[in-house]
Amino acid sequence: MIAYLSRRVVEGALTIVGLSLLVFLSLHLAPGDPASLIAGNQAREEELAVIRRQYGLDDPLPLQYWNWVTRIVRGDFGVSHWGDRPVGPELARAFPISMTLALGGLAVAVVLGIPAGVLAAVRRDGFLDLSIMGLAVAGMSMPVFWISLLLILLFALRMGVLPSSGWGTVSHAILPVFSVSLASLALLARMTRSLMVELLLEDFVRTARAKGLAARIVFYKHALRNALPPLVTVIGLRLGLLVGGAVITETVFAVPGLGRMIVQAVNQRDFPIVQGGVLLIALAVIVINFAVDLLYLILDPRIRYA
Amino acid sequence: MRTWRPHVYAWLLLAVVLVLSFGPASKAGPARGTRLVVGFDTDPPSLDGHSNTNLASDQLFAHLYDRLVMFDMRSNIVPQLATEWSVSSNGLTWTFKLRRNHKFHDGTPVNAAAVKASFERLFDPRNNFSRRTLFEVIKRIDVVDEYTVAFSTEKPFGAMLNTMANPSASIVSPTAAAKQDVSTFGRSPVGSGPFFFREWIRGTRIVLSKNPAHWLASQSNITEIEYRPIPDDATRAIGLETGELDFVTTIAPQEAKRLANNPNLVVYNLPRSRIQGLYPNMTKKPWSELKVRQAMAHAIDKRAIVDTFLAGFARVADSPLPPGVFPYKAQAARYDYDPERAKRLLAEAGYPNGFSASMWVPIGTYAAAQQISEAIADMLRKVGINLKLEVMESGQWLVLLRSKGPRESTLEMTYYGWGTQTGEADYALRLVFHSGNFAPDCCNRNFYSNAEVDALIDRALGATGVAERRAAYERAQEILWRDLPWIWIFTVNHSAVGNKALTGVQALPVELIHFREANIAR
Repeated sequence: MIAYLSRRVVEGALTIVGLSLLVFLSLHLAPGDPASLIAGNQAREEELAVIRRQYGLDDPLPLQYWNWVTRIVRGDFGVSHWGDRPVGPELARAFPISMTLALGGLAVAVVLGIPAGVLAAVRRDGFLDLSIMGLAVAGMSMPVFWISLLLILLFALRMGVLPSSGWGTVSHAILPVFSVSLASLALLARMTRSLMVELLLEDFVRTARAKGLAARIVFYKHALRNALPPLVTVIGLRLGLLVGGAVITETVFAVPGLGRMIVQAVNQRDFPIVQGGVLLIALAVIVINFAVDLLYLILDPRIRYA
Repeated sequence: MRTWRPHVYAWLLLAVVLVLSFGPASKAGPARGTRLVVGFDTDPPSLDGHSNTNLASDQLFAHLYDRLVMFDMRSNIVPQLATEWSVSSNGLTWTFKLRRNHKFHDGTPVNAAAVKASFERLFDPRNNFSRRTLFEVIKRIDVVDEYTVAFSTEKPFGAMLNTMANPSASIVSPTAAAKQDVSTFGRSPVGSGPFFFREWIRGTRIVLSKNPAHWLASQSNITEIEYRPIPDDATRAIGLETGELDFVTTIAPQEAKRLANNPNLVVYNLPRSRIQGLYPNMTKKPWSELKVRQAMAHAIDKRAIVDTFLAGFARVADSPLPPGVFPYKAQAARYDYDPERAKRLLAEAGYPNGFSASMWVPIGTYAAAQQISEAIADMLRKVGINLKLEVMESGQWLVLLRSKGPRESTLEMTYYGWGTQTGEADYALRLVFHSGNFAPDCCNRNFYSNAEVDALIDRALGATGVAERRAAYERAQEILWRDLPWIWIFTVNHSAVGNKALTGVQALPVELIHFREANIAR
């Protein structure tokens, strides 16, 4: 097992290095000149030259990469091209916000989605099953942008109970978290249902019911438990996805998270922010995947001894 | 089997939501008194008054800082920190008298020495302010007496006053600036304006508080302004409807039109000094033929474009200068929508069957660029011109446009626009049409060259008398309108929306909206 874990750590480190190179190259080789965007459409060539010198943009690429990497390993994420703000504090401010959205969204998805899937499986082919699965398909197909606006129109404009945008209080978080949770909620409901449908046909379930155990205990403690390994894997993968920043939700609700920051930085060719931000997300995803692997080992004893 | 009905709770929840959503709509938001909340699209890079590269910054600078002079709604120059000014008879020295007893937010007096120090900071090459090139004709600044400052230029500079009204001519507190370096001053700026800086949480809000010692303090009852960056247009519009926002500085024209029906809101549809059109490469055939350009001008239904895509928040262009730029003069010659005439002109130019060409369309720089370009391509196809639209991301487009000179440029034609933040023709014409400003140095990116226009622009730049400048620029406008180096289509208006209770908002043609003298009646 130690060998397994240490191999995973090495793989993670190599992934990060490869990713840093990939992000750096794709940014620098993409068409578009950061100095041009910083100075604006109506600036003169001399102004651009000043900006390029200031940010080392006319150094050869390998040198720029080397400078960036040597600073990053010391924890210095550099300085943004837009307003000279230090990148580290910016990322430190935005990352927890995106994590809150991701974790909150996932929590809502788990708390609502799994029981919904169980319910659909138990009442298979009934009205409840069809409506839950119908809603799940709708939730996965409807564009996040549209659903977010609908939520704002309903809860902020029509009912006036929640703010339409912004971040800072619990009521600001409710709609964005729900919007982020929808796709995962639908996915978990569908997955849980199909897993449960199989499990409910198993002999051990019939035995437990025959013993007189309450329905809730049989479904959750006995049946669902066996569905946990694949569910946990999916939950972990979804978390990795969500940590990437729910850009659309963050844009529509004006949440100052990492996804929106990176997308804006790409448009502005603000290299330090994109590079630092993507690296941070990659690190988070690798850590999450690692944790899921560990959790898997705990949940399914059969793997431990393989 | 004991029945298990968790679904009952779900139905209950659904019922509650349905009842609430079809009930009466909520009324306007919480009472905020004299606190103003403004929605805009994205955080500026810096609040340093000398940094200015961005329309968002301009807004904030107008509140944090004062300048020597400023524009009014008709682009006239009016006093701000300077109460009177004069220019020497040889045109080389401009003298400004400052108002007395005014102070920066940190208590430093605003006097001639402070003004001089502020400008020297802007000009210092070590500070890397790209906007200092606007002021490069200024060679020396002298403190004549405590409240009189003189600027000496190497050549007569007719656009001096307009340049002093530019946002990057903001006067910063020299004591505060000396204590910090350039990057941190932008995050805790100190000026002398009617509002001082209180806090900036990036992505969430910028808060300014009233400066009670300012001379405008009694004319405005606003105690605080909170600027919220809200990237999505629809969310900003809803923010106005719920009452969470009191003002939105830019909103999509269609949203603004819809909001006009709201009894609590007022729409600001006022001219901006920005003009949009088609930009052909004057060194390449067929664009180099005047008749081809004339044909295009007649082939485009400009009125239809304004009405369809801009919901009335624009005006058909009738001069190379937008209204609000001195000295705009509507041109007598017209390029009315006349497809038959366009076909005739094309035939006369040697293209009886039209021709094919490509046009660049940048995404993200200009509103509705892609739809407008598609409509234009459609109109031109009807007269035989087949345009292939090359839609590209704005960063990429900008590099292609600005980085190559006349021999290497790959430009055929592009959808293009130009905004004039100085409110006068030097900025609008010299950078764009003078043959000395070919790309990559600056901004004559389609390589138009006319010696007579060059001479007129140079003469006006060096003239300090208003009548002489007006005469030169009016003649230049006529020639440009006749030469058609652009196919001008429309000038853009502000599309801003605010709470009806807010009055005294200044929406200037120089693309700036400010609340220095605004009042809110709640």
